[in-house]
Amino acid sequence: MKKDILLIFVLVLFAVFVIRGVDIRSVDDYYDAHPEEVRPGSKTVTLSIDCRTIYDHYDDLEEALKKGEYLPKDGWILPETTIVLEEGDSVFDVLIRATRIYHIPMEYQGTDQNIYNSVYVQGIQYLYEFSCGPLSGWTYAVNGEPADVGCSMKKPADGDKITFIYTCELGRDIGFPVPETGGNP
Amino acid sequence: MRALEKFHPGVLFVYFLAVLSVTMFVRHPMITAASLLGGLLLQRSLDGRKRFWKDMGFYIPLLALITVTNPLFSHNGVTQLFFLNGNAVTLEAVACGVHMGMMIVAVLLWCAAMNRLFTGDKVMYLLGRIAPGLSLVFSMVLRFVPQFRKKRKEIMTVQKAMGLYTSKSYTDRLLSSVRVYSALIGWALEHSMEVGVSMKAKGYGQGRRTNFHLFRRQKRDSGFLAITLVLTCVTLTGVLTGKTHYDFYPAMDRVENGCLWAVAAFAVLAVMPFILAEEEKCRWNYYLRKT
Repeated sequence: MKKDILLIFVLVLFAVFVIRGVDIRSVDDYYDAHPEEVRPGSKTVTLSIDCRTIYDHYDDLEEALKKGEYLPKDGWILPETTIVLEEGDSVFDVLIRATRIYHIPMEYQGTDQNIYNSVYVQGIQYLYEFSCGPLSGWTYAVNGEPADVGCSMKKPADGDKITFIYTCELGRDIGFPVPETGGNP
Repeated sequence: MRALEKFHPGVLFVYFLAVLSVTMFVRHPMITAASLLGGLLLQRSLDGRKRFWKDMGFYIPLLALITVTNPLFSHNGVTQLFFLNGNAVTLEAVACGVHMGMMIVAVLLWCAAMNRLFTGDKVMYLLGRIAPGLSLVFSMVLRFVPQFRKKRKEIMTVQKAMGLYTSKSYTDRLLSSVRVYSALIGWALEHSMEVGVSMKAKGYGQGRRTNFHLFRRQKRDSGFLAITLVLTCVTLTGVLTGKTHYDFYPAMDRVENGCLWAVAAFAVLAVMPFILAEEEKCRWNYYLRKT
């Protein structure tokens, strides 16, 4: 019997450990964020989310995404919008705040889940990496400068212009430099 | 059970190949449901009620596990239910998980049925001439799991006779089964070596070997094969013309009426062995009552 009690104790401990690491929020709760007022003196950046490239590669797009009204006809998931920049914000923090304000579904890989120690954006608005051909995915630019580090490592400054862009050709179609090693279709 | 066992091995092979490949490669909820239904009915008919529910004790938790796991890794989908650690859990991901679980359980059920009906001698007969090595290994693999199970029971019985397993404590019982498994693994390793030596002594690998069989093609074989082929062709026509195309993401498709004939054909195909087995049972009981 003593062993049984010990076993139950260990199981309970494990359950508590798991439950403490879980954070469940309702949908309304998650999207509860409101745009902050732009006061004089507060730092701001502009953010836009652009997937116009898929219309140049429409044949490659997944059939499921062609059916409904999942993607905007003009290719702008989020037109240029002003977001208040908080102290220590990274590009990813700005993006996630914007998606919570404007109810845009987004999926990402956390910093602990890849070797680059940075967040990787897998999909925005049902449009995922590889949704439009084998070389497609999300990338970003700050003031037109192509991304050189992961979006959670880049710290934008006041007045920066952040654009998240969907590429179908590993950046070639949006004028980004293509790494020599990558790009094997 | 004789009704199915007595079919010619080639016919059984074609049948299981058709059902398994459609189940595995067609992603459509109704096809999967039909396959699962056929697998369940056949399994219920082959096994008694007790064995069936014992097996369900494994399949149902497996289904639940896959259902819960999929939404943890897939966050796509328009119907967001709630947010878990900042990621959406969606209805679509749950549905896709249920579908995946059903597919895996269906494949397992069909493989279990195949194991019962498509025995080692049939494998040897069918593939022995084309690929002797492969079919030998395959038939040995098929034999391995039941043998393992039997041996486990043997070890447990011996340990019970030795006075182990008397403790009421769950922990002790859990540890006892660990002990049984360690004995089982040791036995399996040793056994595989012995099998190798023994087979060498019997002259395996020296040249072609013949095998004994009593299989003959009968009229009912041709009938069963013809029905299987026709139904499979109808199903495949539906699949290849894209009628059974179904997407879970971003939103679940509605099941179109246009695919129903393909689904119906496959459902008939999947339920056929159950009907044959039950018909035989009815006839057997009828004759028993008559005498």
